[in-house]
Amino acid sequence: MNRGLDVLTWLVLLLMLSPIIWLVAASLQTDGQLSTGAYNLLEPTFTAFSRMWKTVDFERYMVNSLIICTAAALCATAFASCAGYALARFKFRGATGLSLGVVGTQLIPGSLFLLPVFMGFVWLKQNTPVALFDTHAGMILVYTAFFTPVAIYFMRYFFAAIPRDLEEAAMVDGCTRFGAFVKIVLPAAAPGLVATFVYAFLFAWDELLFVAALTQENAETIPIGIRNFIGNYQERTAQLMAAGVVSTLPVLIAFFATQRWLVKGITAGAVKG
Amino acid sequence: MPKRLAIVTSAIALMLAPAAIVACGDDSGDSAAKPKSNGQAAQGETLEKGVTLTLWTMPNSPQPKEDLQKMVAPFTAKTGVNADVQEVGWDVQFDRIRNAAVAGEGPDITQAGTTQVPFFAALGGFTDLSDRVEEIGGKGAYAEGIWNTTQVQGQDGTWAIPWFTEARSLYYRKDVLEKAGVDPATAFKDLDSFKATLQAIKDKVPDIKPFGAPGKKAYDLVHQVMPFVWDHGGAELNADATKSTINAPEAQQGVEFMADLITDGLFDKSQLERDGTQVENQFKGGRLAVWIGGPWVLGSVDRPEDDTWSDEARENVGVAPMPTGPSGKAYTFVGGSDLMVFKSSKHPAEAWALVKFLSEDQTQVDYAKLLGMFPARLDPQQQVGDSSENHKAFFEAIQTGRTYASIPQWGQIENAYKTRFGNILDSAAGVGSDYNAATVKSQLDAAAKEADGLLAQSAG
Repeated sequence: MNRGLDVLTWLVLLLMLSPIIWLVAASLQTDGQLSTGAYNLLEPTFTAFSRMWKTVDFERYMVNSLIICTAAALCATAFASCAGYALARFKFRGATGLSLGVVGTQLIPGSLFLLPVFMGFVWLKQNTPVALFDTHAGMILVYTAFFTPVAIYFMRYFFAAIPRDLEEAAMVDGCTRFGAFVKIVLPAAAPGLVATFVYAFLFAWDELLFVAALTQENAETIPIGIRNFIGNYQERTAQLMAAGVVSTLPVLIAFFATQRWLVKGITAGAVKG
Repeated sequence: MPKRLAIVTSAIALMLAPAAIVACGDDSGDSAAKPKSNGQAAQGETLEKGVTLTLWTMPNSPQPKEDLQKMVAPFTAKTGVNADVQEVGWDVQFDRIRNAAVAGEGPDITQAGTTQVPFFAALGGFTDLSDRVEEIGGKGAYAEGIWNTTQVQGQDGTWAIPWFTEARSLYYRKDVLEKAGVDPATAFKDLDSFKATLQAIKDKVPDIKPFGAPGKKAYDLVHQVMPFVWDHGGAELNADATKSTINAPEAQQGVEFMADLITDGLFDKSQLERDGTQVENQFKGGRLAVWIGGPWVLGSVDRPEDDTWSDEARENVGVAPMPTGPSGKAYTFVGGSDLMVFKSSKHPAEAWALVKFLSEDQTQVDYAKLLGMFPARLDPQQQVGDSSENHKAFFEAIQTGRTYASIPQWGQIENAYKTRFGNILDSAAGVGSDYNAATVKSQLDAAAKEADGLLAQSAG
């Protein structure tokens, strides 16, 4: 019975990994092999990896993605920590309404915001010195705004799960409320912070619709750049696959580097000890 | 106030992309017809040194941005005007150019596909270049089909300058034709000999598929089918572009000619699963003996880094003009890209100077060679045409090439036709409805109805 389940697990795993296996395998072939189906998986070549940087200015897209996604994920996590803590700990007038409002924003399809945001950015550029259209700041603002509500929702439940005794003990020992928040609560909520950061980062890393409309040159990210491998007159499938591998790497690194925070809840046993 | 208006227009264009084509074709079309004062500075005006122009280009060549940046370096050296080349992918270029045109927030100059020009022109965000075109030889310096791509049918104005050109011709494998015992000189003379050649290849060279073309995934399926429609005397729309004629008997014969190649076993139906470039790679990889393609493939023969070519195919490429149809003419699709100057450009004189530079004969030859395309202007076109036998076939194709009605709604109509043509080819391949004359007719009727709807919306 157990062996049967093991086999099933491996099969499911293989099925789920097959697109990634194909991505890596195809990136190690030539365009010619891919287009005619004459694969030779035993003799991989790294030509596509070296050529992709020349064909498309991929470095620029990669740097833009790293800057925008990291900054947006940091901002969203920072704002959400403060708001989530307030909603989890304090009772104030309108707290329920605010919570519902935060969740409610998720009911509106994101694409509905595209038009007003585009109009606003263009208007600001043409009429004021505020540069948001086609800038890193503009995209960071958009992604932060998009992800903060969900992040608040996440963080609120993480904070709510942390026993009040911890921070009360810190305050008895002389910590201020803010000091207790920074020194005691935030470290205890580290898995939540990491999960929120990684989730926001991945969301921004994949996003295409907004970045396609709100940028022209300076702040274009990988989802825009990666499409340049396919033109009307030529398709560089192997390079596209290589670019896919390269753009997956930061995500994989982010995941594996934070894996233990993502899966381990450090609050367990904190008060018992 | 005008800026606010521009933003509101952009709002509509963004939200209602398909409807925008129709709406703008109507309202903005009028404004597009009015002469513009912008960019009408007199000849010989002085250019402001140190100015930086932004030029949008699409992935045309192996390294689009660097290639074009190098190409414009002499312009900067001569005039002191800098050019910042920015690459915009084909996937996003339509939206980007449209947004830039309606919002007034974009580059100075952009490349645009020839069939896109009327739509963009109707948005009202581009400079009418009519007063300047004489400086580069005007209409007479270009083949008629190519010059038509700069106009909007029924309106005054020249909204673009042709940049580079492509026309479709027949690619074939010389060695396969030899094995099949067919003389290349007469193999593709007319539609009958074309079919007979494919049959000979099928019978005598069984290890290669005679012919293939892409299906509905291809952006250029309509470019593949329409030459056969034109050959039979059909057309995509009537002369004044007010009604679709794609369901006329002549057009039906043209579409059926292509679909019959599938039922006769001459057309490799597995190619219908692929897009244009994938089928191209099948020819380059040695899986297809005959295929309809553009001049850029010829340009890639001598590029050793293009590893999609098999040795056999690379050494045996032949090009022939498209076959002559029952109408007595050999039609082909002629396309390529034009350059458009944004009305929002802060440096119209410098922008025009750059367009002029890109239209100089030597620049045209150099850039076209790099791309594997043809120059848009007649004189440099002739130069490239004379460079080899294969290039000559393309040169001839360009001179007799045909393009579609230059109306803002063409993009949407082409999409409607593409779906229906795809359905017909699928049915011939045994997918979907049974293939017979009634099926073809009903699909073409549906295509015509959709096209008429689009034309009527804009008229109303």
